[in-house]
Formats: sequence, structure tokens, C-alpha cells
Amino acid sequence: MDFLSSLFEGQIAEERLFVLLRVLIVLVAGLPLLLVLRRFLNRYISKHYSPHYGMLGSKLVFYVGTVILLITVLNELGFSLTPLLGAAGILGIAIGFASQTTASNVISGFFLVAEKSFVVGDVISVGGNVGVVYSIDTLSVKIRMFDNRFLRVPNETMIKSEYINITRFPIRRVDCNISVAYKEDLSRVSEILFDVAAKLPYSLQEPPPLLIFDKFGSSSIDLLFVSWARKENFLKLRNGLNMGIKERFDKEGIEIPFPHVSVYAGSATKPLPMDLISSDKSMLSTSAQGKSRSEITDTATE
Amino acid sequence: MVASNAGAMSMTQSIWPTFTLKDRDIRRHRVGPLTIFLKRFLNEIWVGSTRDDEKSGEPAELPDKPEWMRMALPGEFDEYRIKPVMPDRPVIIDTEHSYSFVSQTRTRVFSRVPVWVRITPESREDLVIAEIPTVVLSETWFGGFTEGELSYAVSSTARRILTEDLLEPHLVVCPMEIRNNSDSELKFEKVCLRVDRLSIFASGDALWSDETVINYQGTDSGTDTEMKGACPPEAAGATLLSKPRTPVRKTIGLKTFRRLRDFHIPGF
Repeated sequence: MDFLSSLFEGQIAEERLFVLLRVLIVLVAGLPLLLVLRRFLNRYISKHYSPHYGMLGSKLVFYVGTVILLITVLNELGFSLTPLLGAAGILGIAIGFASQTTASNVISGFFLVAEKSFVVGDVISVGGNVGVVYSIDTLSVKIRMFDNRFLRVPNETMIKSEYINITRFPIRRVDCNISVAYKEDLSRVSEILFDVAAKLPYSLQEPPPLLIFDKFGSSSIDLLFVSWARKENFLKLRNGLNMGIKERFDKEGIEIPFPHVSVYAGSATKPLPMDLISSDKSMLSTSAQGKSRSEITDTATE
Repeated sequence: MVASNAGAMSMTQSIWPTFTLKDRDIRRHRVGPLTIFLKRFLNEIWVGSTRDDEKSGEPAELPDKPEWMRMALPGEFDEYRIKPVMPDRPVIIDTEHSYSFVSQTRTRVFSRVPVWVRITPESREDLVIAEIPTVVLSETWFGGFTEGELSYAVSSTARRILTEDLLEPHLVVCPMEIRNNSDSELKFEKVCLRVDRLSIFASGDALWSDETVINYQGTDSGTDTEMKGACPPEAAGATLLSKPRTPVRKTIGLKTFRRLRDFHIPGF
């Protein structure tokens, strides 16, 4: 009897050992296989389609694979799936109530992916932060900012807030706010601006650049000059335009005024006369040497 | 207009030569306003370039501090080749003024496109060392604000008559026949020429592309563009210098005409 019992126990132990071995094989072979498959799919789809689809495809395969692996392991260990799924349902509801934010993020993530307002690799601006979308995950959107900081925005926040996709369309407009002195000939200014844009190869000829008379400013005439570039050349064009305009204005003697105030004593008088007073007479005499009183006054009022 | 074949070949050879470049040798070569500098160092080729206002004559002097582009090759080659190729994007031809074609009208126009210079080892033409534009062209957008095609804008307009003085060694003459086969009027101000599908032929020191026939059927999407693939009658007997960048299909149906005010709100 003892012999039979020990034999039976030995059989059970052997069976358990086999089960554990099978589970181990499934895990040891399955998990690395899944990881390799995920990496391969990510690379392949990213190369042939887009990084966004690469991320989505690889994640889908990884999650489905993990669930299959888990079911297989549980099956091997002798767990019946029906009561387990029932328990999981009840547990799911309990967890759902307890973690509404997480659930909201997960659901928002689905909408973000489905809506496709941005994809992996796009440059977006959220709440004043600008960066490249690094990944759209279950709970959050990961952004690499241009100063190489990492920004994590919960999916729910993304869904609720306004964001700008800067690289959605293939071309972008560069705006240059320019001020010129009232004395300048605006047709000449316009000619120079269009010439500067035409000489930059990455300034697109179509859509054409445009000059808009913005307003009569307090110290200047304010203009808005816009030109278009491929989205990749946006910064190049902005730098090229601003530097080119400054250079040409300097060369052509066009004044870019800065705010200044002239003091008048009445409605139709000359600027208020002013004298330079200094306790150091030698210094005054040096600076004023050879200048008339009116010249000194002009210098002081300028 | 067309020089004798032997003369044409020697002329072509002087502008688009095959040459020897020994180790540590430097060669300068002018094509229109572009001068290219080539330096050989073991299995490396160093390429530099500069542009000036001259269109012919002696190559420009090597600058004191040239900007070189280095390329290591899979072997040491002594013989190299310089030949013209078309730009790598479509070019937009300006008609200068709005152009109208009444129904069932056809016309033939010529346009000049600056070529790019391709440098390869003579025995390995698949090994492109560099491609340098003889003239830096401005970029332009062909399409709408949300989708379109990046192209080059050429300053040359669509001309009805081509005179000898317009033939220049760095400009390829592209004949185009535009046919309005529809019952409606065709009105446009710019034409998109798909130069990547055109070959280049040499006739004397002039370059010609094969003829493009544009058949307008009533809608832009229904416009067929056909590349003839043979040298045009004006350059009969010309020799083929370069094949198209993109393999030629008999016809392609792509947006070709830029109509008046495609951008309704111009850039704003």
C-alpha cells in the first residue's frame, strides 16, 4: 500500500515537473521570440510605411502575443479559463472604478491614434512646449523637446487640450515683422524685400511672398513680410530672410527705427532747446569745441 | 543648326569629357557658370565647385580654401566621366503671361533647363561620385497648401521660336507640344515639366531633350503627358548623352498645369 502511494506521489511529482518544464519552455522560447518579432515589425513597418504604423503594429503584436502566452501558461498549469475570465471581469470593473484616470487615458489613447491628428515623428506644440512626437503609448504621448528634454503628456490631457501640429502640411510660412522709418520710400522697401526672398533658393516662388502694410506705429511704419518654405527649411528661411533684410537695409541706407521721443513745447514749435551742463568745464569745452549752441542743442535732442 | 557628327562629337567631348585623373592630380572643368574641381587621393575623390557670372572660357581658379566633398570609392579608378543629367525634381516653366488655348488647338514651345553635372568613374557609371547643378534653382511648390510637389522654378519662359544665341552648353532645350483636345478652353500660367523622365541629346555644343507631348482632355487629372524618347527633329542626328532618371512609361497622368489663382488667398 505504501509502495503504491509512493509510486502515485512520484507520478504526480513527475507530471508536475513536466508541466513546469513545458511552461518554462513556452516562456523561455515565447518571450524572446515576441521581443524579436516586435523589434523586427517595428523596423520593417517603419522603413516601408511610417514610424507611426511601425509603433502601432509592433505594439499590437506584442500585446496580443503576451495575452496568448499568458493563456497558454495558465492552461498548462491547469487553470480553467472560464471562471478566471469571470473573475477578471469583476476585477476589471473594480480596477476601473479605482483607476478612472488610467482608464480615461487608455481610451483617449485609442481616440488619439484613430483621429491621427499627429503621428510619430511630427513636431507638435502642446501648452507652449514644442517637440517631436516620440511615441503614442497606452497612457501618454511622449515628446522629445528640442532642448532634448523629455515631455510626457497624458492622453486625456492631449484629447482635452489644443495642440498645434507644426509639420502636418508640407510647406510653412515664415513671417517677418519689419519696421521702417516714416521717411523711407515704401516702394523701394518692397522691392528690396522681394529681392531678398528671391535670392534665397529655399524661399519658394509659389506660393508667392507677400508684403502687408501692418500699421502706422508710434515710431515706425510696421510691415509684415511673409514667404514660404518647405517645412524642413523653415528655420533656414527665417534666418536667411531676417539676416538678408538687415544686410540689405544697411547697404541701401534704409533705417530700421527704434522707439524714440521728441519733446515739443507747443503744437508748432521746434524741439525744446536744451543745454549741456557739466561741472567739468574742460570736458564741456572739449565736447562742445567748435560747435555752435544750436548744434549742441540738436545733439542733445537727438 | 546641327553641326556635323564628327565636329559635334569633339565639341561634346570638350564639354562632357572622359579624362584621366592620376593619384594626387587636380582637374578643373567649366560647364557654363559652374567650375568643378576634382582631386584624386588613392581611392578617394575630392569634389569642389564654384560659380561665377561667366558662361564659357577658362575654368575658375581653385579657391584658397575650397570646400571639398570627399568620397571613398570601392577601388582606384584612373578614368572619369562628366556628363549632363536633368534636375532631380520637376521644373516649373513660366509662360510669362496667362496662356489660353481654345478648343482643339496645338502649339509647340521650347524651354531651357539648366543641367546638373554628374561625375562617375568611366568604367562604373552606376557609381555616382557627385551631381552638381550648373545653376542653383529656386525651389517652388506645385500644388495646393495641403498637398503638392516640390519643384524647381526656372527663369526661362516657354518660347515659340528658338534662335541660335539661346543655345548654351549648360542649358538643355526641352521642346513641348501642348494639345488641347477638349471642347473647353485651357487657361494656365505655369507648366510642370517632368524632366526626370527626359533623355539628353548632344548636337554640337547644344543639349536637347526628347519632346514632351501634353494632351489636355478637359480636366487636369485627365491630362496625359507623353515622352517621345527620341531626339527632336531640330537636333536630328544628335547623340544620346544621358538616359532619363526615372524609367519612361509611354504616358503618365499627373497634374501639369498651374492655373490662374490656384492659391485663392495668396499665402495668407
